Amino acid sequence: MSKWDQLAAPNHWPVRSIDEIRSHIICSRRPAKQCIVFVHGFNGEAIQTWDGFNADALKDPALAETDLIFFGYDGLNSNALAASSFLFDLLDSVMSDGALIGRQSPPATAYASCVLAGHSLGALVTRWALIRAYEQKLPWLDKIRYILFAPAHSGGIIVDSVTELLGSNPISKFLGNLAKAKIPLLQELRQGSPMLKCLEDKTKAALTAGCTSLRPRRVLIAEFELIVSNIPFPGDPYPTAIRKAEHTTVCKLSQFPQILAYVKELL
Amino acid sequence: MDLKFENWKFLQQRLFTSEAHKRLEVVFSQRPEVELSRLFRNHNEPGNEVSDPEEVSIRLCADEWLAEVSLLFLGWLSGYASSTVDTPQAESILAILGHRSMRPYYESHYPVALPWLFRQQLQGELQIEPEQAPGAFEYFINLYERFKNDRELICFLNFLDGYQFGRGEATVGIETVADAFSNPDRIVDAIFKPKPQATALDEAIIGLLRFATFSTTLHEFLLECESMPMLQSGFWFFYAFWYREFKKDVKEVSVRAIQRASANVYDKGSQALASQSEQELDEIMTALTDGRYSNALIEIIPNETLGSLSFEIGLVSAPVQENEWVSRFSAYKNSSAAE
Repeated sequence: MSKWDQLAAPNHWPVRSIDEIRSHIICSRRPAKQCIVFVHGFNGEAIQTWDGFNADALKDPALAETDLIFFGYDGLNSNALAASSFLFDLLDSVMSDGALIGRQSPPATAYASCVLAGHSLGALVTRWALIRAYEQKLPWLDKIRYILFAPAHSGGIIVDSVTELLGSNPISKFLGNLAKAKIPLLQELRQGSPMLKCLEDKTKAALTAGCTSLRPRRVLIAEFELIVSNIPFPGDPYPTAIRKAEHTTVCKLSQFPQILAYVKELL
Repeated sequence: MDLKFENWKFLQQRLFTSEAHKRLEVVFSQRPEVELSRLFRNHNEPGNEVSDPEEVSIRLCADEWLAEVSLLFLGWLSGYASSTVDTPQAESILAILGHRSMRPYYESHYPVALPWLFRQQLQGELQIEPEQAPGAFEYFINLYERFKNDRELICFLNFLDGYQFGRGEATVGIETVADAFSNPDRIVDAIFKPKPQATALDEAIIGLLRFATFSTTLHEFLLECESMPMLQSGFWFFYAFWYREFKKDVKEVSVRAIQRASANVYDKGSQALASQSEQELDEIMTALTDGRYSNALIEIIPNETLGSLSFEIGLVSAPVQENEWVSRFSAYKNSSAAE
């Protein structure tokens, strides 16, 4: 029997791009009760960063009434605050009328809950979007369940290898080796940068005021992390390490099937 | 629930709600035939250049629309969706796909195989059986969505098709893009340049990298489809235009780019990696350009097809014609056999 004989996604429609917001959506065939919003990191790709969540995960009956939204932004030339503004608009829409994602079949309705998953730089992007929701007192914030993968919120992104960050193809593999150390540390993510300090202060204030949605339910880190600092962010739970994972693979379900359980526990 | 029918409804809805379809329906219903023929002309012929923004925009819509109908055909060919034949939607699709101003556009000027086969199927000229591999179609549509609106990739493809910017010594063309790989710093500059400052050359450099990523992914996927040669062929034909129809040889350009870069490597570690990468890229591009994936579909399509039934003096005649699709794309297969 061929691996292709069966539908990879018995409960979902094929992926569809939402061009206006550089994002993709996989809608459930039945009306969705909840959604998972995935936010990639530095130079990531909306879907490819989360490889496996767009296929293997969809065979799981627990996700039958879940929409998967892969948020995209320019993770190379943009900045965390600009990206978080776009993410905020998306979250605000999907948690109210759903107009921005144009869910067609069945028509858009508000989700009862939303799992928000961020990888690497995506941790900053998501944190800023949630801080804004908190400061604007938006009711949907209570419906967010937050999970992070190899977050860059404690500084890092030591970009010394284009190979690892520019996707897998023979040319970049080879050029990456040549271009090593030619790429500067991302200023925004320098340890102790004003951006990180401000984020930390605002998060502490919100947590002290009793806002639990800003605290990730789980933080997953790679066993072999060479890109970001693994120092826990104030208020975060102790991280769960994934054996044999690296910075760019820790969020790939196709390589680490066990990470699905960590997402499912939040549904 | 009939899942195949549900899937077909989804794909046809995707087509009919697309902006491209809505626009083309208006164009085909409101414009006279002579205007439509002019609109869908071959821009490579002298005096036929296309520069009017509205014309460019409608032709881009046509390209997008042809990709969407190809997905409808592949959905059926893979066993993911039921057939469009004998549905009310078939007529609406044929109103555009079978229009005599449109057919030369995808059958002759810019030959793309799948819309052509789909038209034959809808007009009863094609009888083949689908495979049963819905999962493969789901994977393929992921690949399509991932790259379909990639600005840099499109820029690189335009260069391959002969686009040039600037004049005289400052002319930037596909040769400039390949030459840029001699200097790895230039590549890194292009990657990290803020988008508003990026030039066409910067975009094409990144586009070449994206094209290599796309080709690697497509190649790996096609290898996984080996047990279903007809469907493997169908998936390849979806992108065959990129690998076989551009003015410049895509394999030659890609391999030359990596060779330029490897010529500037002096330490032993990088030299070994360069040699390995060069070989890997050569294998991928050879597989995607030598026509091997065209064989299965060409072989399964009958060389002859029944023409339209005509009624003459009370007799029904069904003239047998050479299948032009097979004639046109056999060139792909022959080149593979020759090597």
